Formats: sequence, structure tokens, C-alpha cells
Amino acid sequence: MLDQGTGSERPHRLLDVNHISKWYGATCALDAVTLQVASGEVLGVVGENGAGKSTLMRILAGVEKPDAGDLIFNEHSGYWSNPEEARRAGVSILYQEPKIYPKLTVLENLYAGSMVRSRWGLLDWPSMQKAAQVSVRAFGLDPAVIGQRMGSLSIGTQQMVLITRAVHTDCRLLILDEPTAILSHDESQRLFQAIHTLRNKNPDIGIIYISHRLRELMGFVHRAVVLKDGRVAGLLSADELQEDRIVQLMTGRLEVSRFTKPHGKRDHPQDASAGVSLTVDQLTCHPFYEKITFMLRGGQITCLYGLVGSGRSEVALTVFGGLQAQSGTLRINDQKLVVKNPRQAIQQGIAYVPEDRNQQAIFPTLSILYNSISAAEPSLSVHGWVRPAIERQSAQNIQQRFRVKLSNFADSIMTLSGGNQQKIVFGRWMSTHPQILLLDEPTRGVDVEVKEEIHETIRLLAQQGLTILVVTSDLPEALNLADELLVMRQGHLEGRLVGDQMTEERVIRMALGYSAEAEGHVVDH
Amino acid sequence: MKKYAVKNWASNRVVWLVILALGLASILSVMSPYFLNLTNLLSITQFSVIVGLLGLGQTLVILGGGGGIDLSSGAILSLSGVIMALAVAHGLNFVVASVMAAGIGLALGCLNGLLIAYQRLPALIVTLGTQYLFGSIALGITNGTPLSPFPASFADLGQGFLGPIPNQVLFVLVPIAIILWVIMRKTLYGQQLYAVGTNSVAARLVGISVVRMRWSLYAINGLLAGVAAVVMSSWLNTASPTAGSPYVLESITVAVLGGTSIFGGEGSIGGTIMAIVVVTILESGFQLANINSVIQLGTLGLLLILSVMVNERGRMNALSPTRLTRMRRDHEQ
Repeated sequence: MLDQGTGSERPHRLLDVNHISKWYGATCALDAVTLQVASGEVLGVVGENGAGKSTLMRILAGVEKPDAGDLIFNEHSGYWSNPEEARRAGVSILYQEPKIYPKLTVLENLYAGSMVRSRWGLLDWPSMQKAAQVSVRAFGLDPAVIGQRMGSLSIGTQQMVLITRAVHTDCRLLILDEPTAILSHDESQRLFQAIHTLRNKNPDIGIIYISHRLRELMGFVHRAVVLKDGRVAGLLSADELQEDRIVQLMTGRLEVSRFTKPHGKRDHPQDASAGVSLTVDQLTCHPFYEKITFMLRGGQITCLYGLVGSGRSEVALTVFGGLQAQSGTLRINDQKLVVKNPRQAIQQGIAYVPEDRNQQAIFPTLSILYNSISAAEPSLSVHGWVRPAIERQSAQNIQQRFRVKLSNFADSIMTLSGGNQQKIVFGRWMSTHPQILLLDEPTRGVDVEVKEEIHETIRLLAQQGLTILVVTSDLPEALNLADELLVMRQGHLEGRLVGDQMTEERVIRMALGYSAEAEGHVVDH
Repeated sequence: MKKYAVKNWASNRVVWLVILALGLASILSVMSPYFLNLTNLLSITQFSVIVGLLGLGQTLVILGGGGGIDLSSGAILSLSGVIMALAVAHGLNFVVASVMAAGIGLALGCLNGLLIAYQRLPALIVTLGTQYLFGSIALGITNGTPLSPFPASFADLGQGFLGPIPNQVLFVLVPIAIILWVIMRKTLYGQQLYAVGTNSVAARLVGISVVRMRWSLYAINGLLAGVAAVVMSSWLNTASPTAGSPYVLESITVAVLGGTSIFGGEGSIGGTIMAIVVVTILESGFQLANINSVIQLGTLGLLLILSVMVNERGRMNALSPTRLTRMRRDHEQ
């Protein structure tokens, strides 16, 4: 099929991505992305949260279909309708957290979906075992490992096994999605060794490598693509790979003030001391985050920004009592705060809008009415008896305040659009009269109009003196809302920015760990 | 206007069961001249009390979600019953003994809840285990023989009638059903029960104590099993160490037939009550019409599978993309 031997001077094109676009509702995740991978080439992919990296990889792996454009893989045009098709065509994908069968042995994991059969149609374990031992040894693992349960191995070793698996499945394109993000230094080194072995064994294999770690990219990739807002912002050759260049491409043309006035001009509350302050001191919760210290003030919006896995959501969840810290303290106005569960946090005047609406916030079989008043119901009841008229009044207040479009409160919450559901989930906290508001991704999965409405509400609440923490992976949102911006990276608080310090470039540098400057540590209050 | 219920198909379920009950009744009245007679009809309600009490308790447990189920309620009934009989045999007043039986049921239910909610053990295994445990204690303390130490006046509850209505229906099943219905519809507890059943993560994040809620459900179920033990002892004038065991699967049957989703969060007291009516007509009505009991059981099995199909169909329809899109559009207008 391939004429690799004859035209060896000109590298064979393995993958052509031609003007691929993908929309989710009104949001454009990928906008006519074009890139190529030659066989034997390692292509780096860099980009911020929501730049479109994962969407692109999901399309390449057959998990999603593009809305426009096409792929040419190995001279076949089109795209895959499911992951199995992509796998058979020779695309292997290695995620940050390995997708494994933990209860099965390494051998079974290696051959899952491609078991070798004997003449009689039975599984040919001896020959699989023999082949597996050879290839596992080639990747520097102890051959005895193939009898062990996959789940009993370290994540690093699991990654190695999955790379070995790529050999068995006759892989032509290997996609590595931040494989080192949760590995130790030694494990990362072994992983790179394994990738080298793979490339030696199979020099034609193409590799797409997604990472934020510049040192890994340098000396490993041939070229790097920088994605920004769903578009290709630039293509860098190996010698152009420099921190400044990458950050420049990742920032570029950010339209911070496209929808609203820039930060800093918001009217501050008349009397800032009216609100309460929340102090988080040396809070530690393994394995999510370590020694987090910051302070929230009344009337102020603090944004907590970080990439996926930085521990940002877990911090907010801990303050709300949904997660127990191992050490560190919380204080409200210098009074020690102990929250063992969310109920206690609510009693202390804390409200929390979780990150994942469907899993953590919505009661899908219950009415819009109940979903609106679920948090406030205890305070709306008398001696355990619900008061329908008062509950209805409370729900109507939320509807008016958040301009929720609905015709009947008795309908299921699922009959509302995502944006209106989010307004209800946010609104349910208004009748508990909180003093501290923890909002985790308050505008995820809602359209631009609703997003703006929610931002407006958050500003208004800050003006009324509430203490607000917005956890977000949406940088424009963070820059737009924040009076003060905290940046987390790999479980640590990387820095605190206020006022003019809050530039896109600075935030991205911190989130990626490119800044070794003095601002790397939190200013003490 | 309906205040809390959103489940159109679940209220349809009650209508569906009423139609089913009427259908069965009309078939039976054709087959047996004795069936369509008010006194007869009211008289057969006495066969619905035990299954009714256990079925209502089971409904609550299943509604609470998280794989909730109680296989031990029959054994709780047996054990509370024989302890009560032993106490009466040793000279305890039967009224005090009745209260004690209910209390023992409550305590045994609390034990189930402790293991399931606080220790986070799977309900199926825990209650299977306690079923054997309670059952063997009941057999052990009676040497396997039924006890009948009760005075004649004790039989008033189980065997007496007020007019044409059995006392046990009028003074036990109906009041308890009404109390539960009120709790589910009018109290914070009832509302939070649905919330826990449909999404326990979200429930915890709005400040509901999921663990305490689930624990209390097993406690209530135990209490109802204890009450059932009193009614049964009075009705049969006997406490048997194996009296409750046939009722466990029947209690799950009426809960599911009544529209309770086995995944929790969906179901109602009204649905379970209608299911009890249907099952009672099937069992006692068929007997009255002299139909072979083998057919009864087969029919019940078919009805059960049919009801799950209706449940699932209802859920699919309620959450179908076309329906949701249409309703979203209606809201926006």
C-alpha cells in the first residue's frame, strides 16, 4: 500500500487535516484547522484550555465527527464514524489518565480487542504470551509484568504498557495527550525512552504530542502547532521553539472587552468592610493541591484560574465542605471556620455552584420549582412542613431576577435549555442569602447571551458586598470578571495578580509554569 | 395545578393501574357471581394489609436510590412477632407487647440502615444477611413452632369489622398510607427524599444529609414491618417464626408495579396503593372466582414485567430529545 522504500527523500504524508471545523451549538470549537503530519514526524500541539486541542484529538480518534472539512489519512479520505474504526486504521491515542481495564492482566490489556486466535477459533494464549514478553522487554519492562493486573501498576508503567500496545495494534499514528502531566520525572524519562524505542522499531510512525512543557517539546518534536480559539495561530519549526514565541502566539488577539467594559471600572460597594472575608491558610489536600493560601474580600470578585488538573475545583469544593483537607485552616472574619459537610457550609452563609451541572446540580426527574428552591427549602419550611405558596413565590423571584424563560414550574427541569438550567442552579442560592459565593465554571456550556447575563449578575452581587470566588478555566472570563486573579498550576498557587498585572500573557505564563520570576509566590496579606 | 409532581407518566401510572384493576374486576365479576358484591369486595381488603405495609416501606427504601432495597422486612416481621408472642406468654399486656413489637421492628430497621448508610455496604447483601440472621433467631427462640398465647380480645384488631370494613384496614393500613402520603407531599422530608433518590451528589451539595436520609428509610421500613407483625398476630391469632418470609418479594412487586423506579427518585405512595389493590384483586379475587392459583402467579409475573416496560417506555418518552426540544421551545415562547 505504501511506497516508503522508493521515495525516501520526500517524506510520505501520513495525515492531512483539511479545514476541519466543529461547532457545539453556537460555540465554534474548531475553525478551519489545517495541519499535516508526515510519517516518521513528531508534531507538537500547544494551546490554552478551550483552544480546541481535545476536540481535534477526539476527531482524529473517531470519538467525534467534524462538521466541515476532511481528513486524509494514509491516502484514504474521510473521517471515522467511531473509535474502533480509527483504531483499525492505525490511530492510537494515549490519554493523560490511561484508559485501561484495571481488573485484567497486562497481557489481556495488550491484546484487548485484537486477540490472536488459533485455527479452531479459540484464543491462542501461548503465542500471545510469547510475543508480549518480547515486546515488553523491548520497552524496558520486566517480562513478568504481563501476568500482573493492570490496575496494580503505577500510572507510568501503565503508560508504557499502552505504548507497547501500540506496536501490537500496528499503529501508524500515535497521539499522546499530555502523557507526562501526572508522571514523576523518572517515569517521564522512561516514557520518552519507550517512545524512542517505538520510533526505532517503526520509523514510519507519526506522532502528535500535546504538552505544555516546553522542555519536553524542545529536542523531541520536529514542528509544533499553536492552537488559539479553535484556529491555528502559528506553526513553529524546531529551532523556533521558544517560550516567548509560544506565549506570543497563544495570546495575540484576545478580545477582552468585546462584550463588557474592562475590569477595574466597576463601581465598588460603598462600604467594603460590610462584607465578610474568607481566609484560606496553607490548605492541603493530597493528591489535589498543596499549601494554598489566599484571601477573599467582601465586595470583590476573585477568580481562580488554572488548567485542567491544577486542583482549582477541589479548592472550592473543600471550602464548601465537600472535600476534607488534610491540613490548613479556613477563617471567616478571623473566626475559625470548620465545615465537615456542605450543610454546615450553607449554615455559615456559603453557597456553591458546582462545575458539572448534570452530575452535581440538577435533579433531573424533579420539577423546575423544586430545582429552584432545593437549597433554600429548609429555611422556607416551618417545623418540617413545606409552604407551597412561599416556595412558589421564591421560585418566581428567581425566575424574574435571572429572566428564566419558562411556562410552567411543574415541568421537569430537563425541559429547560442548558442556559436556563444554569440560571436555576445559580438562582437557587439567592434565597439562602449567602455571604460567600463559590462559583465553579458558572458559565460552562451556556451561550454568549446567557454568559453575559450571568457575568452581570455576579458583578451586581459583588456590588452588594458579597464575597465571590469564581473558579474558571476560561481565561477571557477570568480577565473580564476579576478584581483579583489567582493562578494555580499542578496543585500549587502559582501567583496572584491584581489590576494592570492581569494580562493574558502573564496569566498564561504562570499557568504553564513558564514564569520563574518574583511574582511566582503569593503576596502575603 | 400540580405542585411538585412533574412525572406525567407516573401519574398516568396510577390511571393505568385503576384501569387494570377495573378490568380485572369486570372479568372476575363475569366469572364469579359472588365477586361483584360490596361486602365481599370490602372483605377481601383484609388480605392487602400485610403486603400493603411492607410494600409501602419498600417503596420508600427503593425511592431513596443508591441501590436501596430491603430483603429483610419479612424476617423483621417474623422476629418481632414471635418476641411479642413470647412476651404475652410470659404475662405482658398485649397492648404493651404490641408497642414493643413495633419498637423491635424499628430497632432492627435501624441496624440495617446503620450498616447500609453509615458503613456504605451494599443494601442487597446487608439485608440478605440480616434476613438470614433475624430469621434464624426467630426460629431459635421458638424451636420452630408457631405460638398462640394471645387473649381473645387481641383478635379484635385483625379479625373484627367496623360495618363491612375490616378493622385492620380501617385502623392500620389506611391511616398509615395517608400519613405517608402527607409526608411525601407536604413535608421537607418527603421532598428531600425525592432529591436524594434522583441525584444524591446534587442533594449533598444543596445541604441534604444523604446518609441520615437513607438510614431513616430502613428505620421506617423496620417500624412498618413491626406494625405488620402485630396485625398478623392478631389476624391469625398466631405468631409464626416464618410468617413474614413470603411477603418480601411481594413487597418489591407492589412497589415496582406501582411505578417506583428501581434506580430511585421516582414513584409515589398512590402508585403503590393502586398496585396493592391490583395484587389483592388478583390473589383473593381469583380465589373467590375459583381460578387456579398457578394462573394467579403467572399473571402477576406478566403484569410485573409489563409494568417495568411501561416504566422504561415512560422514562424514554419523558426524556426523548424531540419532546425536550418541543418543551424547551414552549418555554421560550
